[in-house]
Amino acid sequence: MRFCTSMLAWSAAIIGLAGGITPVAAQDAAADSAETLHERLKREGERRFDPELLESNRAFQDSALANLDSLGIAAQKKKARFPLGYDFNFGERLWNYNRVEGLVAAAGFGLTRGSHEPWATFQGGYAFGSEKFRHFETLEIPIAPEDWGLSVAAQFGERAVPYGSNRPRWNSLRAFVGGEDAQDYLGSLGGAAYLHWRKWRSLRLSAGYEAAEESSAPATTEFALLGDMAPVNIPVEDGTDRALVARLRLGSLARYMARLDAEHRVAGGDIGGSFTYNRTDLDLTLRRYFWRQELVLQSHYVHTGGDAPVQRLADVGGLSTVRGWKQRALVGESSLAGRLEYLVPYDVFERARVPILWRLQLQLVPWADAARTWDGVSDVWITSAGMGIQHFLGEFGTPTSLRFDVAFPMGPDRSRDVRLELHFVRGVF
Amino acid sequence: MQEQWRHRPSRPRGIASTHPSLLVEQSPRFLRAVLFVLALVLGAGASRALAQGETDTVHVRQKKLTLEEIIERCEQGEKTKLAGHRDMQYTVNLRVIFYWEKKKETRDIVFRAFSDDTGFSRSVKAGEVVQRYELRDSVWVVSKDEGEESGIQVESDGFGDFVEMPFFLEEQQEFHFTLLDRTVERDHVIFKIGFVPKSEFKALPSGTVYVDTDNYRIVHEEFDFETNPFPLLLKDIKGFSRHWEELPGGEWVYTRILMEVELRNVAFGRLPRRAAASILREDFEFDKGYDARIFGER
Repeated sequence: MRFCTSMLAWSAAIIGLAGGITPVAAQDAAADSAETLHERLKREGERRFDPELLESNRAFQDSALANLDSLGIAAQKKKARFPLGYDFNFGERLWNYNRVEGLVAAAGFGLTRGSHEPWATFQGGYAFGSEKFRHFETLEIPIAPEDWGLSVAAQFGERAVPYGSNRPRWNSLRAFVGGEDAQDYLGSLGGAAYLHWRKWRSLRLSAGYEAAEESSAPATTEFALLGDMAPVNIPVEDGTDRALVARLRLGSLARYMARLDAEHRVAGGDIGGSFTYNRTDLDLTLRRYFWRQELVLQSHYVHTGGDAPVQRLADVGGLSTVRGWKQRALVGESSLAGRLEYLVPYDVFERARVPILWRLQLQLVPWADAARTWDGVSDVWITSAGMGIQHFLGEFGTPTSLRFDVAFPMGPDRSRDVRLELHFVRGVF
Repeated sequence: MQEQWRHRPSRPRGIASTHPSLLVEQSPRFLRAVLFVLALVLGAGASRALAQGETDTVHVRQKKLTLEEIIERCEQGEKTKLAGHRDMQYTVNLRVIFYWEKKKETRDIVFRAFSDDTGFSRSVKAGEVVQRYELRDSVWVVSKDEGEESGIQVESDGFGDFVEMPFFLEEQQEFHFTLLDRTVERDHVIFKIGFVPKSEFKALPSGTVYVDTDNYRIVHEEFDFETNPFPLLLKDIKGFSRHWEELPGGEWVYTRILMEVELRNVAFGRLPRRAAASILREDFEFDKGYDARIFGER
């Protein structure tokens, strides 16, 4: 092989001299011909990046590893001045803007000793609309080796929480800018304790106990940048809700293209509390490609039994179930909602060179929604269909897009013939 | 549909495996004469056969592989890349360089990492060193050496080599694959496979993967992002590559990841314009068990 290499080098040098290539280049050429594809890929891959990236600080690496090997992690921890690690957060469980609390400005901090150690967070904020202090605390304790995925968690807080089926993404932003607060709220003071089991990314199970005092929350804020918010928040049945709750998440939309979320809640009876009822929620999402065409089917079934308070009844209508209809358009003891969306994979505007729009990366999403309730005031199917145009904003925990929907509600009781909605949507992949 | 052709050394039909001329030195005179005549006869026969259009290459036609079969074999290859081992430990050297207009910062972080076949993984930070530079007369000069930090060690998740596959194999349904090229490397074939997201709007990378048909190992990956996954923060992802190597024991592991991003000016110049990172993995050791003294309680 070396003989061949040197022969090639000399041949290249001879040819190169005639053609103006230097012997050095000829040697490079010979080296190139000697290297394997694997080596060439590595070399070419490196060439795309700053050579500085591949420089190594060998002395530092060796001393750091020798330090770790000799002392071990426990000894290193003892050297720390403060045995707990802490970090500050933005109070993300409290930040809000809605018609019952106004602006809730919050901040907080977390305490932990390490990645698989008890972890506590404290968040506090002030609601400028209701003029009340809000807080939310959590504690999570791993109770087995990390690969078992077992932990217990507890939480306690006082804040306004949404109820009903409508849960639009970034509702606060929508409420603050456009005055379109699409949720209903109740005041909640209480906590919960759970046992969590997480195995892989596609299996989560939790069971626990929840207790909270629930009360009606009056609307206190109307202000929005581009139009006032409706000063109404539907009252709920006040009382103490004590319940045993079990939740399951099975599958994943990225890997299995299917996900099932189930929740069962049993309240009252021997557990105590003001309400005696049970409620089951089932969410099934399926995603399929037909060559490049992507279809997403979402369905949500709710069944309540016993004497469920109004805030725990099944409801449909609004951005999360049937677009074009107002929120809580139908309320009953059971409900079924379905949604089918076709995500057009091509940038139609770019291909058609539509002025201005062709550079905005706008995706077309034709869709259809349908839902109904049982044992309610009006048990009929409500449906709608329409066309959405969305722009991808980024990965914020889940992929998020800004969507403009033109919705055509169908049925005799519809409040209007067409409804335009600008909202944020959570991607399902 | 694919075809594989394997080249064999040329040998005219009808010639013995040992050439008669090799026997000449060891034979008596009469035998030499016989062999000489035989060689002439056979040689003439072979020349005639070649002259009649016989090729000097033997083509062996194997079963044609579809792209789906190649990808399926890749999947199997990925599942067996660490076969026979229960766990592995290695060192990770992370280097991040941030570039501003007239300054830059280099961070070197060293981790010791562990992963096993249950999917458990953990890494421990062994130390970090930060150096800041300023651009003076077109030369980078050290402005501040923050020194080495070897205080409290931070534990975090590591890399799940035993249970994780490359994302384009995990989520195959998201991509459209194309066989771009085949290269014969010594005695086996290397496939060059391209993939692109089926949707033009998904923030998923497209890329090129090189697969060695010797056990169907991925040897090199290059990625490009047509749709920026963080458009509010990142201006562009300039490059992303991952290189795999075979260890002396036959295990296949990725040894380096290189990437570079261009950042948006969202904080009036306070955030860097560009950032580049390299992850180099080395010092692989297998089946040494979990060392709680180094990695902490499990």
